[in-house]
Amino acid sequence: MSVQQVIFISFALLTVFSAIMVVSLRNLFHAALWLVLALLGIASLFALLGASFFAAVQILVYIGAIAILLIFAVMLTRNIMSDEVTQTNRAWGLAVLLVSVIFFIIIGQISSWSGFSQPLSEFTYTGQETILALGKGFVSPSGFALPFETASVLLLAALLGGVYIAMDKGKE
Amino acid sequence: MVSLSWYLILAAVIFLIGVYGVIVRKNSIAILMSVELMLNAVNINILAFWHYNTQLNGVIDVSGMVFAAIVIIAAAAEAAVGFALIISVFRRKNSVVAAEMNILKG
Repeated sequence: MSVQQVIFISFALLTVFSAIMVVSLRNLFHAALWLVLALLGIASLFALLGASFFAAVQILVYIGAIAILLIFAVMLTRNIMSDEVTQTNRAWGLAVLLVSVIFFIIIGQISSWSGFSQPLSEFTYTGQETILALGKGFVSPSGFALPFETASVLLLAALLGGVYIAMDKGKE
Repeated sequence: MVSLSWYLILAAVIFLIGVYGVIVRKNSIAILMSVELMLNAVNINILAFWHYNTQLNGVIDVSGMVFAAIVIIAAAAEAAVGFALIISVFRRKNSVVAAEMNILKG
């Protein structure tokens, strides 16, 4: 077993374990903290794939912004659902069955593809070259300038809408 | 050497854990957490295929990275609007349980 495989397996196990804790813990605050760990494991997998920019963005955006937002929302609504009440509905057995059936369908489908077990060799590019290519693609009009600008408008609209929806409009 | 299938299987596992959480959880904040897990699994898939395509063609594939960036932007927008909706419903109904959000029911 190569070093890369050992690193991959340890981060993958960490990520899967944290993800299971996220969906199964009763205490939502702890679930949010496990989510941070799962996101960190995914960021290290991005780094292992050679996407260093996305590893950094994952830490900045997900752990820095979204997870903090989540923890705020958990704390604002904290004492509504006590931790003793069961946090799952009655369909959990059915859900486990459904999820495992879908898993075997997905694996059965994609394992028949010829590139499935293709080994991913390490990039010869430095990290900067991929970031440079991404930046040029984002600003060149023949590349992805329009989707990039549209995405920024979407983000602005979503944030303004979020502020408007959550605003306290006073007691009517 | 890590092969593509490892990433694909891992992404499928994380995605399905997220699906399980969305189906099973009562608290709407926990549902949004599971949605974040699903979006991250999709990003693992996209970046694994980006790596595969780049090493197959020998040039850096830009469109894969653009897809991954747009998924992250969509996730940020979804989290902002989703939490705003949850806070708004919490103000009105004093509850975050998804089954009790029935204001639109006729």
